[in-house]
Amino acid sequence: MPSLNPESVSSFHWMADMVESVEVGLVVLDLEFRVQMWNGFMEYHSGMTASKTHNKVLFELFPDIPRAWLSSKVEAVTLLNTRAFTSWEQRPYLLRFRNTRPITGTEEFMYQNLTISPLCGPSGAVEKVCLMVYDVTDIASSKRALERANEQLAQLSMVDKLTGLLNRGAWENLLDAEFSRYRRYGGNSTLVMFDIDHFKAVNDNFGHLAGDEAIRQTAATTRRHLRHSDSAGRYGGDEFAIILPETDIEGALAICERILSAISRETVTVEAHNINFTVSIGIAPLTDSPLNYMAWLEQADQAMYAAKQGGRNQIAIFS
Amino acid sequence: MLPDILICDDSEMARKQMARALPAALRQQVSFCCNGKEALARIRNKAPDLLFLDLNMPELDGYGVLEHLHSEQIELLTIVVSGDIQPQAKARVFSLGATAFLNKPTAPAAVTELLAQYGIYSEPEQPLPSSVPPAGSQLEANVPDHPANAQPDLQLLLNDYLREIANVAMGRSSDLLARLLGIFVRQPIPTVAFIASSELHMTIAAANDKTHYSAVCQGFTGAGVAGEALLLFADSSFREMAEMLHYDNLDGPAVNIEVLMDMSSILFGAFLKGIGDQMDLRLGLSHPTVLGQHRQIAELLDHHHNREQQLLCIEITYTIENHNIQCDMLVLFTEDSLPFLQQRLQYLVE
Repeated sequence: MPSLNPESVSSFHWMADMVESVEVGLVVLDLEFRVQMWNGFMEYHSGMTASKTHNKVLFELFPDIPRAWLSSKVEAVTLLNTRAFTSWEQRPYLLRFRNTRPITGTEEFMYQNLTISPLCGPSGAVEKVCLMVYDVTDIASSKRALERANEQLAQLSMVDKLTGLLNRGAWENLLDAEFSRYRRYGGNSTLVMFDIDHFKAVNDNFGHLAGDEAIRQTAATTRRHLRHSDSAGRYGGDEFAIILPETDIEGALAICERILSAISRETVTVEAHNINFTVSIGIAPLTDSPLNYMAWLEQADQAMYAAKQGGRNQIAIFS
Repeated sequence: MLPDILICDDSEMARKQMARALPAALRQQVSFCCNGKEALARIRNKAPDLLFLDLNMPELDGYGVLEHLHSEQIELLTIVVSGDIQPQAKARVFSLGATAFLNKPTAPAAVTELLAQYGIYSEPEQPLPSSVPPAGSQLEANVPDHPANAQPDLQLLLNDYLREIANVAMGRSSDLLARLLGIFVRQPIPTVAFIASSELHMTIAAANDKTHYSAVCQGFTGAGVAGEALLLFADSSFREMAEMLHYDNLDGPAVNIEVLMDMSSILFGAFLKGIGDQMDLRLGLSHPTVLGQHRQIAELLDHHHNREQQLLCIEITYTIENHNIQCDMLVLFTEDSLPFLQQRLQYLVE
């Protein structure tokens, strides 16, 4: 960068011109938040001229600015003589500037990143601060669009993100198919439903991260005890469901007992807490009585309810 | 008679810098130790007249050495030499019996003044050239493990050099954090390693546990060096950190980003400025961006290494005393920065 020669009026002029026209908002404030400089970007977007803002307190010009928040940032900047950065993700904007693009603009207002920089006087002490306001509307709107797209993809996907098991939709399709297969060809097929006992207490006592970990570990343990042809899904919250094709009650019981005892023996460790928990399991072998797969599911659910009523940490069979 | 001097520091560069800061006449009677344990053994055997002691060391740190000296009632003039410039660090070492405190990197003038103040050594009014050996030549012979004419392992030296530079820079960011929060920040020992960019997550100490983290990153560039700094913040630490920062709101997703941005502004800014000052270099910082939230570290760092390259990685694990706060700071230099760093190193070892 060429150094500013104080004797050269012309170099001062083009430097000022540059600051005036740069596509970044530049504001210099004294430590009482009085505006000392207000560049072109700020004029155009706020509709307030530099002469109108000069020496006025920023919070009086823009009552919507979160005063306590900005003050504490500026305080840290002057105390520590270091820059501070804030992102549109924590606060979409400092000053609400309307979107200026009538056709291509998809957002209502300008998203802003903000840098607060200390400005030192000749003595080395911080005398003023500079606010740099960056227009990041393009970045923000594309990131938000990406997030929306990812959400939609997650809904379309078949896998539950937390557990890696099938999600409810995908699993129900399989259940429907298994029910139809039985109707046509008969044979044995058993449905299992289970959930974690007193799951709410795990969440309440140890936090949601611990709850998530309990769900994840339950899924992992379940998967270890299944055969290749079995299909496990996360039905909802802490509820799991398994389709055991070509499996009678005895076979289903053997598998479920292994899962029940494995989960009761395992400990989930989250942030130095050791958490033990159990599950209650309901089994419904497929018979001719349910009219559709939902009725079959209802039977397994009733069996699970019976296991809960029976004192939890046990298996009940629909009858 | 000239005093026996012991310099105890885990960094070879820091030992040299310290020895070089001594008046030339004293350099003949200097011996060196690489950690607190070694120093204690040496002192118990035969106490020197003066000990220059680093605080941040493996095995036994400087605080530990001071505690031992105190409990074993060994009277020894001890000058602590440290990059930890928090007021509390000074208060602690003085309460443990240290005589004086020198900031790293050591300036010869400050050392000379201190030695005169404690009556250990004063420069003769008219230096006698015949009796004072020329600086430099004596020094090399005194530094162990590193004979003057052997070619040192450049990579090892670069690691040592960066660890020491990181140590001093870290002292500055800890000081800011301590001042802002009114707390004491325990100075960890920075680790320095060359790694392949794809192995990044494996080298990070915190990556092994299942804890969820959120991360923010900030790029830096200067003439000849570039890279980025990453701050990994344990999700379980957010609430307490927000409390310490005196936020009005303590819950909600925006608070976590607020913590990340505030912490990175403080830690990165001071650290990178500290690095730049020592290397005589100005570093420009880009705006920090949130890399991801509430995920395991391996996942956070995934998808970010398309181009395989060797990175130079400085890792600092911060913990805050009496608080459940844990964060990991990584500063990564690009492969292209190595020639510049090596060139700066040559200046310092020559």
